[in-house]
Amino acid sequence: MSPRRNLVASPRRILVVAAFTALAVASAAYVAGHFRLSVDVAHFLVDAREKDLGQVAVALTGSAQARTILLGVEGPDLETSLRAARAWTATLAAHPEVAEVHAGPDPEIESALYDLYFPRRLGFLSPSPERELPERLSDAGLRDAAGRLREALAAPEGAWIKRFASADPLLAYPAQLRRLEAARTGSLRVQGGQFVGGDPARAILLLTTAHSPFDSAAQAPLLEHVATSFAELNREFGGSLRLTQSGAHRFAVESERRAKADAAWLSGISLVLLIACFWIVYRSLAVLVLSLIPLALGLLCATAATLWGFGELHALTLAFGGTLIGICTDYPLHLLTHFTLRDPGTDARTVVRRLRTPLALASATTALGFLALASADLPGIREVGVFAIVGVGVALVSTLWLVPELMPGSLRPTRTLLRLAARLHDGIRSGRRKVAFVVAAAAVVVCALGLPRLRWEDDVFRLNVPLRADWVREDGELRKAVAQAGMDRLVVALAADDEAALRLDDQVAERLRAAQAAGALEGFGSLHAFTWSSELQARNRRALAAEPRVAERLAEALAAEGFRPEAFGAFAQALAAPPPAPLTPADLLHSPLRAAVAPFRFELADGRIALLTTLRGVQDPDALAGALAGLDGVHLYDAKRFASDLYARYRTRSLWVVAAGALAVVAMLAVRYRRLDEVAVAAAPAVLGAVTTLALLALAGTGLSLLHLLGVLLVLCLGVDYGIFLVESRRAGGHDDAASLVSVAIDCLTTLLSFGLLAASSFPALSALGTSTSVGICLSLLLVLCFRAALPADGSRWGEEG
Amino acid sequence: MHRAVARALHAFGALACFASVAAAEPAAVPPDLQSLARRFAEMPGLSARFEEEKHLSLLRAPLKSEGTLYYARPDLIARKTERPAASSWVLQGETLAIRGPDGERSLDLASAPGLQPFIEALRALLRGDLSALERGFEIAFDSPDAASGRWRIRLTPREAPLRDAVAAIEVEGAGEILSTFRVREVGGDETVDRFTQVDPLRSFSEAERTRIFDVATP
Repeated sequence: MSPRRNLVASPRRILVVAAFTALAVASAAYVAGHFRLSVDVAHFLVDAREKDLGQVAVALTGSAQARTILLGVEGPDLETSLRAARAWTATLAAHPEVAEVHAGPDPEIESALYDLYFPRRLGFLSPSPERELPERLSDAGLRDAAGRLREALAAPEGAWIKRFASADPLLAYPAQLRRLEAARTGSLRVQGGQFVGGDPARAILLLTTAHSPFDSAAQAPLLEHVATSFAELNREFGGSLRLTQSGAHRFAVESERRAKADAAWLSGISLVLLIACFWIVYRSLAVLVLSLIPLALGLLCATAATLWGFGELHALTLAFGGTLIGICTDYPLHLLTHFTLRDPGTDARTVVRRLRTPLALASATTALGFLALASADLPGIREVGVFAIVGVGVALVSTLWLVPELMPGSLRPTRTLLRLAARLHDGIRSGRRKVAFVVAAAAVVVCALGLPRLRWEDDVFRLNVPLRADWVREDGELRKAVAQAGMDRLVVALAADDEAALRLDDQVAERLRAAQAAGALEGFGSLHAFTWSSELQARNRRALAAEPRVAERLAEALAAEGFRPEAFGAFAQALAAPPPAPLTPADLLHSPLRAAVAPFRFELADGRIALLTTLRGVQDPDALAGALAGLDGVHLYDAKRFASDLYARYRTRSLWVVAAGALAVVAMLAVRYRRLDEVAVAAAPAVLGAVTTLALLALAGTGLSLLHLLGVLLVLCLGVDYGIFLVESRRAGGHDDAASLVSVAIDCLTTLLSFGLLAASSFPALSALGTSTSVGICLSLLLVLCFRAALPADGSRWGEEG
Repeated sequence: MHRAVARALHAFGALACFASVAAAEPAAVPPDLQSLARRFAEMPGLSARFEEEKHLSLLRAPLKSEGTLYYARPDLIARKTERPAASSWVLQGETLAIRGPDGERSLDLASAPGLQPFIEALRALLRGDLSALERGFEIAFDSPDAASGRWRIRLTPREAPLRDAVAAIEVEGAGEILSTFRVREVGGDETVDRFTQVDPLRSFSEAERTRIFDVATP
């Protein structure tokens, strides 16, 4: 074959290039049309869709409360603050991402309260009717009620009480309104029809977005609109205004911005270093370009496949895509190095034929490793697995079929490459088994010292960038001002329908009241303040009806307090009338109380109803858990603990999966080699390197996360590749040993450049990945070279050499 | 709405300060409405004892109470009831804070359309702003006995929902001494306040303003 063969446009070459070009164009078109980046932490937090709390956690991240941003407008005085907030409301509402924005409560709320509760007041007499009502409706109890009515009429709200006292002498309606008021805490108040809160007092706007706070594509433009429109408003008010805001939105947008910035500078520096490396070793830009083609195709197809399979691409997956540089460039580099160092007269097709098995085996073992991820419970990890498998697969295919068609026949080794090959080859040949033994023994000692100190860090929130302290403070202040209870610690009542869930909610409220009285918590908020189960409402009516002659005896008690008994005929009529339909969550959700009620109720994907109770000032978590014990369908949900437990479980399972993956790889190698020494050289350095990495990190005092484990998985995949390349070249007679050794060394260098940079990322998750992979890959290379040196040079087995 | 209007009726007890101004300094000539309004406009603040009787159709005998009323320009009003049970309310800006036997609560005037015009009218009266008062009420001023200087102001709400609840508010006096303040409701109930120990030149130190008018401690 002519040295310039690859410059000739053969039909085969045209066909291959056209096919890959079509694949690239199709993938690019799909990505362009469907690209959607997500930083939703739930993506890496919960799958477990069959699990109750998993569904609740997912529902919470998209809830109205999670989608609500609190905006505080603070001026030189409250009057100015209110005026500015009022003027700003319409501007904010005009943005398409704003579902609703409220500067104050619904003006119809007072009449709605009357319409909802007054006709049903006798169903809301007591949360424990069988226990309380007999006493309240006894003769003594009714005398007390008459006395309380007289006091109430003399009190500041007497004129209001008077309006309905004749129909409600037991004061059930004001009692229900007090329950509603008790549910409202914090400094939020209403002034001039607008929300006011915080210290110093400021106008508060409640802005609810149409999409999830983690949908950065939707939230970034809105936050920009908030910033620019406020700047304009501030100019109109002479620069005297200050804006504070809460909400997960800007944290998510900031995370994405940081992810993009990290990706940009990491990729940039990585590229520069790779170019420098290639130039020094090959003096050829063609090698660089050709080695990047499988990577580019792999990333593009992996992105398209992930978008197709998951509907979106998580920022962490994308960032992880950068790490595929380490794997995807290995294959073309291996091919190109062998081609460059080929014997005179050997054509490209021969080189490809020799390398087909090691490359296929290497990618198969890598895919086997990532298959464990692709079958993971967490969608984020599953996404990473699918992304990697597709990326590696496409990189392999393009390395075997596309790159050979494009390799310039004139490619020749540089002096640097030859020198490197010679030194490595000599080093291996002169290596002693003793050296391998010493290095391996040292690794084992490190493992023995480090592994007992292994400490797992399962706080999933630490995988994200640290949150800006001033934003966190602002967020906390505003939430406290409006008493927006955090959704991080909840009681969840789960049932098939609203009524069943409300019955659980009734029991939860009763037990929490007792726990509150015992000092286990400061307070709680739930749907129970707004309505009770139909059953409890009916029990109130039944308990009322069970007491004899209530109207007559109450009339006597009222008369004794100076009332005119005949004025209370409306009460007697209400007792005798058929009860109205019970108040249901649906009634509330279709009333002006919707905004207050909605955060407490969720309909899960499987149609079940989850009612939430928010907890304030939990003093004794154990007592709280004890108080709720025995209630089927009731769960105490601690977001942080839930995530940590989930991660701990997943991490444990992942350890087993990685171990199983490693065993599968060893099995695959055993089938291929059928020799213990070759299997050992191919697999042991990677396994020992991975374990030693964990031990070293433990010795350094690093808390290990799932991302470290992911890094170790990468080390296993890459390390096994190195072993395979070296063993395969030895099996092929050893004349390609030098090329394989150089190739492995350069593979390691390029991988190190990519992953070493990840360690410098501001994302703790990426940093963890980078650190573990960098350390592991260096160890793997060292070990694989030592193990390879320990193999007899003549192709015989360990112990058989002469 | 019902609740707001009813609260407004009670808040209107603060109109007592209207009476107390004149009670402190009997005038040499019978006042007219404009001269009374001018005096209100000059008033820095006041305090006065009140005795109230509520005649309710629900009760055979009136409910009686007594306490002290405070006003500080421009818009602070506090009513502290001492007997038969302690209770109070404070109006500060747009917020009405109430403390009664059932605890404390605050109310935004803007969220109570039935109450807002009522309070606005009250403030207009205290400021001596007759034109603002006329927007909410028809005002009738008469002096049936010119020799004794007796006179009477009758305020009739112009619009619902106040008009649906309140038939009229009547303030009576002699010269510049007011004797009674009466709210007649549409249903026939009636509230009457009588005032003594009036200090129409009452000024308040910062500590007093905080203690008496703070909505957080009504």
